Amino acid sequence: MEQRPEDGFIRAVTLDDGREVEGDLFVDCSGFRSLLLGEALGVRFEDWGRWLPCDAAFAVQSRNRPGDAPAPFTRVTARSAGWQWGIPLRHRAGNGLVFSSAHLSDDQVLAELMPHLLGDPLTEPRRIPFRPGRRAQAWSRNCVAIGLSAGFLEPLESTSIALIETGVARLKQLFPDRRFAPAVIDEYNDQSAREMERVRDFIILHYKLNRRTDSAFWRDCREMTVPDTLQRKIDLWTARGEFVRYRWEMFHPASWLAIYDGFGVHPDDYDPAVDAMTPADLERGLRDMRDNIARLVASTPDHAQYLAALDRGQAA
Amino acid sequence: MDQSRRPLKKICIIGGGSAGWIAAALMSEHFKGKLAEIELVESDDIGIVGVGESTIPPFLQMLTRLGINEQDFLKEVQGSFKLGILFKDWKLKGDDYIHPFGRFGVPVEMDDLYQVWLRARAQGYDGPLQAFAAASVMIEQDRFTLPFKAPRTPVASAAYAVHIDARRMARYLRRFSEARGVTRTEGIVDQVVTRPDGFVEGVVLKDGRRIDADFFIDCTGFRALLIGKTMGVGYHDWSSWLPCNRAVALQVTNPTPPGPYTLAHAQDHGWCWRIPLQQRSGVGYVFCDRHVSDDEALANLLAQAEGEPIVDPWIIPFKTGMRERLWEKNVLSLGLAGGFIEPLESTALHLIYRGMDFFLRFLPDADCDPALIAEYNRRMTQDYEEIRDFVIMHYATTQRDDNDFWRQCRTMEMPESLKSKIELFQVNGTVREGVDLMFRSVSWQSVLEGMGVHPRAYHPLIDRIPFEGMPAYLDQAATAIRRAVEGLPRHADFLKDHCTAPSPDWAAPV
Ligand SMILES: Cc1cc2nc3c(=O)[nH]c(=O)nc-3n(C[C@H](O)[C@H](O)[C@H](O)COP(=O)(O)OP(=O)(O)OC[C@H]3O[C@@H](n4cnc5c(N)ncnc54)[C@H](O)[C@@H]3O)c2cc1C
Ligand SMILES: Cc1cc2nc3c(=O)[nH]c(=O)nc-3n(C[C@H](O)[C@H](O)[C@H](O)COP(=O)(O)OP(=O)(O)OC[C@H]3O[C@@H](n4cnc5c(N)ncnc54)[C@H](O)[C@@H]3O)c2cc1C
Repeated sequence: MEQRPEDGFIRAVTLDDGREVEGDLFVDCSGFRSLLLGEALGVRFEDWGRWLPCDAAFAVQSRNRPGDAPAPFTRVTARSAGWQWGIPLRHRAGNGLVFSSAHLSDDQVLAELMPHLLGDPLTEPRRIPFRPGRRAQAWSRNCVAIGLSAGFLEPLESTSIALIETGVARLKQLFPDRRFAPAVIDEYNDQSAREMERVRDFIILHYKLNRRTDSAFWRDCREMTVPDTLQRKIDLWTARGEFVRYRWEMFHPASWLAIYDGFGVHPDDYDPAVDAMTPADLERGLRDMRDNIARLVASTPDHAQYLAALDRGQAA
Repeated sequence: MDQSRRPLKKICIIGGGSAGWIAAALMSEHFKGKLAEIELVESDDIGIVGVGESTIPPFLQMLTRLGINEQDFLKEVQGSFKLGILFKDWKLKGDDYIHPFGRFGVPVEMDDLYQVWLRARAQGYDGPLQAFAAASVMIEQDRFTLPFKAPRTPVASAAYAVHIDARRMARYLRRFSEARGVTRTEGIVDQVVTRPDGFVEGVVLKDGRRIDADFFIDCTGFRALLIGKTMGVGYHDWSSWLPCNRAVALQVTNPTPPGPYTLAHAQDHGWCWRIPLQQRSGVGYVFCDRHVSDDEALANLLAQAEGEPIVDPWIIPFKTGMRERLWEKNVLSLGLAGGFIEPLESTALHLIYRGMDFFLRFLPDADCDPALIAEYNRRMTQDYEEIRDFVIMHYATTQRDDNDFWRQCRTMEMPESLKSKIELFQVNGTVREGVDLMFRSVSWQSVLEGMGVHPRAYHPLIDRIPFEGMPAYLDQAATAIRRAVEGLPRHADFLKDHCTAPSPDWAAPV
């Protein structure tokens, strides 16, 4: 890779066979290596390991059992020092276990992972080490990192691909010309940083709220000090079931609600204005909602039927 | 769930200006007579500030929320319509521009009309930007209709707010609130009684009556009796950016029919407003006492104001800024008690509505959980700062060089948040937008363009659309807007048909 001496911009990259590729703008999609932004331009990595202790995964594919229809959701099961995923595709399933290598040896991980696959193994388990965090600037000079080269958060909420999409949309909105105005780059970096911090907080929440007593890992997670931005959210939730909303949030209140409720973390208090409704009205309102949803769901096809209709070109 | 809940049983509002009665109206509607009891204390002897008569479109959401019929309301408050603000002499003497409400009314597939216009202009197109904003064209032609009554026409892209008589609005909302159980008490609060933990327990009136409550809303105007004097909450002083600190206000007859806009006319040391109601106008001069005496200010105002005075002028001293915390313990400050930014963009009444909207969202129990207070203060501070930046921009981007006042504005150090916003705009017209922002791209584009701040380039991606025929398309679109507006009634005629106010007796107190 060659940088321009005057401003450190990337002028061109050279391939191993000697060919040279020039460009005005370089989009670094080189994965964890962060070849241009990290290695060549030396943009610092901000490590979030103090909040997210997992640092590796084993991934393995499995065969679908004959007759099994894939479930329309990702399955995430907590293990002794991490968690296991099961992602059902139509022709096979993806499985894996994200863990903290300080707490578990590879053998221990495999012993926890392999008995719980969605089917018989199809591949050898592959070990993928990672570091949670992000590049301090996603865009430096004439190089924008998109994807793993910009940063990584464990796939607990399957957010990496979404972050690629928002990164691309943002690049489109703030598309530069050859002058590379600093105001545009600063704006891109600020928005990307805030957005990823919001996702980070959402993932940390899953660890912070756990009540498991079976390992030091989970106890440490429960007792950790979380970022202020997250603590504020938890405080307001606990006080009154309300949501702090910052700019560039990927997850809306309904998602936060699902996690709090799923962990059984309920507010100390509710909106006093609810007292203006009688308990009978409230109950009726909730019942109507529940009945409506149940009725709608009962009239929809199941996942397998829907997929079959898709294949026939008939899905709505 | 905490079993020892202590819901608020009694809320006391101190002050009966716009802020006090908006608070009373929204709470009494929200509580449906079932939650806390509401009492409002005001003093006729002290009176209200009596200005604050121009609004922005989101303010009308308040009427919807209260279930108030807009037409009926406008009749009662001498209301007229507002499609935007006409800024005179801000960029340079003799130079005008409009900040319109609504969107640009030309569909350009997937792209921002402003960007298309920038590229056309770079290629020699010379049509003005505001020809594409229906609201601006309506202002120029003095025409009006309700945009939603003209669907599928370019007029539908306009938006509107209203001008209202402040005293009549307070009276209207008072009637509304009293009908919903709010008690009004006449009297001057003389003492405030606090508990050892700093919460306010009650207020004592001059005649010795005492009113206790679990929660207090300080709507005492610039006096800031509870939040300032009692609680001692400090004030962020923004006068280094916005040096005006006084206004003289007056009401005059309408020598010509009311136009559908607010006028903000820059002067040598500040600016004059004119807010046309159906049968009179509110006028005033916002100035800086380091440059102008009260007498000079009044003389300047009288020279500017068309129409005969119908009341005595009054002077209003102010300090631009906001409370460090709008909500402290069991005291919420609303309106002028909480903060003030000069009325250049007519945002104060909307901020009062917004302040109540958030308060109702974070409605506390008697213990006033700090997490609720912290989030309330964070959100509201964001709004104040956004408005502050938007208003500063009108001064900081001036090109006037005719005296020290304007030269100081030109050279001031802007807040970092505004500086970065303008820098981004200057690159290629990009405006930072977020979900919770009050002013959308069109507002920034209109004001910055109006002030002569032009981006250095248009957005690079605009180069991907075929551009042949674009200038002709833009001309056609501008013509279509102009024609559609020409077919509309005059503003005054529309008012007559839609919401004529009973002829007021100006001498009678309201
Ligand atoms: C364990 C795990 C589970 C995940 N699960 C999910 C999930 O459920 N949902 C989700 O949204 N995301 C998930 N992700 C993230 C997701 O996999 C990535 O965001 C996505 O694959 C995009 O990766 P990428 O394109 O940035 O990098 P990569 O896929 O690593 O691609 C890097 C590319 O750069 C090329 N390259 C590198 N160096 C050079 C070089 N010197 N010269 C030329 N080419 C080079 C490589 O050949 C490759 O083509 C997961 C990630 C991990 C680690
Ligand atoms: C020059 C100027 C122009 C403005 N223009 C606009 C505009 O165009 N658009 C806009 O939206 N806003 C504008 N505003 C702001 C707007 O006027 C105010 O936000 C609005 O009127 C609310 O005022 P208030 O109710 O907070 O205070 P006030 O109207 O001052 O009311 C204070 C109340 O407190 C009572 N009170 C005070 N002390 C005591 C006491 N000790 N005991 C009992 N009662 C007490 C008074 O009697 C009165 O009822 C303008 C403001 C100024 C100064």
